[in-house]
This record gives sequence, structure tokens and C-alpha cells, in this order.
Amino acid sequence: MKYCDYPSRSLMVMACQRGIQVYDADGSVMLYWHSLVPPSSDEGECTPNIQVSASFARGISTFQDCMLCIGTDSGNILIFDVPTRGANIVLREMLKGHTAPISCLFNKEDLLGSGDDSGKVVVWQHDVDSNSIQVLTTIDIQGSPCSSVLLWEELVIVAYASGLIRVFNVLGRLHAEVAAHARWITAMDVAPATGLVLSVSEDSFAKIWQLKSEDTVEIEHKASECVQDVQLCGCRFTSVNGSSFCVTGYDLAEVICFAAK
Amino acid sequence: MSLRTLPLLFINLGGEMVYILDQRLKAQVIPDEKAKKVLHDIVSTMFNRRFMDELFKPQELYSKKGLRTVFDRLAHASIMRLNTASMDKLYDLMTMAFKYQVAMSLTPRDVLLVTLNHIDAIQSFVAESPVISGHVDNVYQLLITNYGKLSIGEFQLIRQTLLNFFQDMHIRVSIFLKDKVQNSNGRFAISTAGMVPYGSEPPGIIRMFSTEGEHVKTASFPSGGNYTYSMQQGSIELQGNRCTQLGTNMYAMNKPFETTISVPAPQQPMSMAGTSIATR
Repeated sequence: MKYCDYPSRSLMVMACQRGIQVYDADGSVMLYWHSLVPPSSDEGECTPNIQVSASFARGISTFQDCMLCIGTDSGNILIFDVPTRGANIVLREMLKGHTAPISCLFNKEDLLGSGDDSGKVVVWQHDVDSNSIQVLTTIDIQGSPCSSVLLWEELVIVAYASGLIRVFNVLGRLHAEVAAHARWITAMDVAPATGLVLSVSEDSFAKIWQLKSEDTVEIEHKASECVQDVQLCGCRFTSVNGSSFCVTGYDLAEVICFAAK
Repeated sequence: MSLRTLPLLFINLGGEMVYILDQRLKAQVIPDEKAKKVLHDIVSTMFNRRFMDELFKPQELYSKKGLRTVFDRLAHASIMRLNTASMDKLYDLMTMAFKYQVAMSLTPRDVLLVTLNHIDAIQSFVAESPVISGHVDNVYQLLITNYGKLSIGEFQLIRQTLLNFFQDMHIRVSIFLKDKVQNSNGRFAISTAGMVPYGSEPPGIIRMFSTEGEHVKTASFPSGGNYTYSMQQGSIELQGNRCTQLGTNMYAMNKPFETTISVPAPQQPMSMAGTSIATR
């Protein structure tokens, strides 16, 4: 689930099994429903040994302040046009750059980063003149699912199920690799004003990293916090400069907040 | 969510059931012949070929109530009789044990290794019966066929489906409390030491690369834990080394303990030993 902020409105978007639900900002009115189950299919007749999961949506992002992007289990990314008001949300196209289920999406200005379960990352660029979305870069390092992707300055930061974080430039050149966590990295966030990156993992640690991109690209470890006995599964900076953040965990009813002293 | 989760849920819970019943039958000094018959009948019913063929079809998980009914019937598929309280306690023990195994798996694929550990143990319980042993072999083949080539992402989806099913269950289990793998609040203890998954690297290193792609600088940072490499990947071969203790029989360690469970404080832990297994 994600709150998607546009210049003139906010939407609450839920990526679920079998479909996508779009609500208004307070969740009181469902504006749009998109089914992921093809009308001609009958789920009771699925072929054994081929279908592993029911259709699902995963990964939500805004794009260029007027579009909504949702990843799917097929690897396609659905792009919807979002009007400034009303419920006339329209599917405009499907981006086909992945064959494995999409795991994450992230938008920065005219760039969209997408990651999938095979470890492949694609950076898409929207061309305003032609109003088309094209592949800018493909970073295809197989072996470990990509669990989160961020875009900051000219950098693409990718977290993997293996606990690694890799920093590339937008053209795909590897700048740094961090053995960051001992388990699956479940979420990341970036503070755009300062280049601080937050990563959380099932190893119960939340870690803060500082990106630098002046002369050379570097990443430096700044802090670690262990939330004892909690497998962390979500995180978000709650300030633009990264001085505070919140985390969530499996089986945890609380949201745990941290702030810099 | 994954449509491939139900067989793993059923087989692992069934495996835990067999472990617990074996321990209780021994603790209550039930005659060997009767005890063997109980376990053989339960395993034979559990791994009935037609039932397994249906189970392995892609489908959603049963509801919690539906799955409990399946195990109620399974527990009474033999000459054994359990009263409601005993069945409640048995089921709670089974579910908390499997929840622990899924949550603590080093990698999502370890859920398959946990399942194979249960299969290996069940095979040893029924080794004297070629027919039932054949059923267990059939299930092993079904597991390898259906899960042997799944990707890490597909296993993670299965694992997340299982963890969703077990969410908010915090029943305290005395064997877990004694071994300090569970806290008094019901949460499992997560160690910040131990092995990282096979193929992963212990945290603590940052590598920088030049514009030509050469590794030019290494920096280290405190990882916050004490992690080591895994030297071997768990095997899914018939006689393979699973490389994990998760899913093995924790009741067979010859320790003087009880298979007890408890509800959150302030009530005292309930004792399975205070209930009895009756046989017809």
C-alpha cells in the first residue's frame, strides 16, 4: 500500500492479489479497480507445474506527477494516467522490460527504476516531447532477487535478497558494493536532501548510509540500530533530511520511530 | 500469494504432529505395538496418494479453521483418542514449531529443506512398513518435482504466505522458552550472530570500484553482529545433508522436558503431559 502524492491530489493505492485498488486520500471512496485476472482465464483450470502464484501486483510509484505505476507478477509494469480530479484513471500502457515478477518501483523526476525477483533492474525514462517511456539502462545481475531500488542524483541504489547493496550510476556502471545485512534486505528509503539511505532487513537491523557523488561516488556507513527480535520489513524516513525514520516488522503491531540526537 | 504453499504447510505440520505424538506415546509408556500402529496409521492417512495428488494442485491455503479440522480428523485416523483440550494443545505446539522453523530459515529455500527434514524423520518412523514407506517416497518425489526448481523469489512468496498464515500467533512453548529461542512475550529470539545464507557475505565490507570497473578500495564498518560464512548448501537429494536443524525432531534429544505450551501471561504454561492419549 502506498500514498501517492500528485500536485493537486493524493491517492491511496493498494496493490493486492488479483488487482489494484485506488482510493481517495482518506480511503473512504474507491475510485478505481483494475483486475489482474484475465477475463478468459479460469483459475480452477490452472495447469500444474506452471502456475506458482495467483496474479498479484507489487511495487507502486508515481511518475512525472501525472502517472501511476504498478508492478505485476508477470514482470509487466502498468502505467496509468491520473487526472487532476475525479475517477477517470486510465491504463495507458504496459512496460515490458522484465520477465520475472516485479519486486519494487521508484520514481525520481523523469526516471523510473524497477527491480524484479531475478535481480534485474531497469531504469526507464519518460520523454516529455514524445510522451513515451523508454528503457535507459538495464542492470542484469542474476542470482539474487532485487528487493528495493532507489534513485538519487545520478545514482541507482539497489538492495538484494542476499543482503548486498550496490550503487550504480544511471548508465549502469557499478560504483560500490556493500555487504550490508546478514539476511534479506526488505526495504530501503532515501532522504533526497542529504543523500542518506536507510535499509532494513530480516536480520533485525536498520542501517543508515551516506551517499556522496561529487568527485567520486562513495557510500559510507553512518549508523546501525537493532530492533531486538524483530524481522524488519518496512522503513521510511520521516524527514526530508533523514534525521528521523520509522520501521515496521513482522508480527509487530507497533511502528517504531527513531530520531537523530 | 503463492498457490504452492498448502503441501508444505500440511506436511510440516503433520511432521510436527508425528514428533509430538511419538514423544507423548513414549512418555505415557504406551506399549510399542500400539504406539507403532498409531504412528503408522497417521502417516499412512497423511500421505494417502489420492489426497497428496489433490493437495499438490495449485490452490489457496485452507482457512485456519479448515486446516484445524483436517488435523482433527488426521489425529483420529488411528486407534488414538484425544480429548478437545489435548487436541488444542497438540495443534498449538505444531503450529508454533513450524512458525519458528519458517521464520528462522536462513533463506526462503530452506523451507523446502525443513520439509525434507520432516520427511526424513517420518521415513524412519515407518521404515518397517514397505507400503507406508512407499507413500513417503512418493511424497518426496512430489516435493522435488514441484519445488526442486523454484526460484528464490518464488520460495520467498511461499515463505511470506506461510508467515501471513501464522501472523499474530504468540503462544509460548516451554521447550522454546527453555532453549531461549522464544521470549516470555512469545516472540522468537533473533540472534545477531551465526551463519549468513550460503552464497551471501557476512556484513561489514564496502567495496568501491573505479570508472574502469576495477575494485580500488575496501572499507569496513561494524556490522553490529558476529556473522560467518555458510560452508555448504543444503541438499535436496534423497539422502542429502540438509545443513539445517530446523525441522528435525527437537523432542528426540533425550532431554528431561515436557511438551508444554502456554498462553500469554499471567496464566501458567499448560502441560500436554497433564492430558492423556487414549487408545482403543
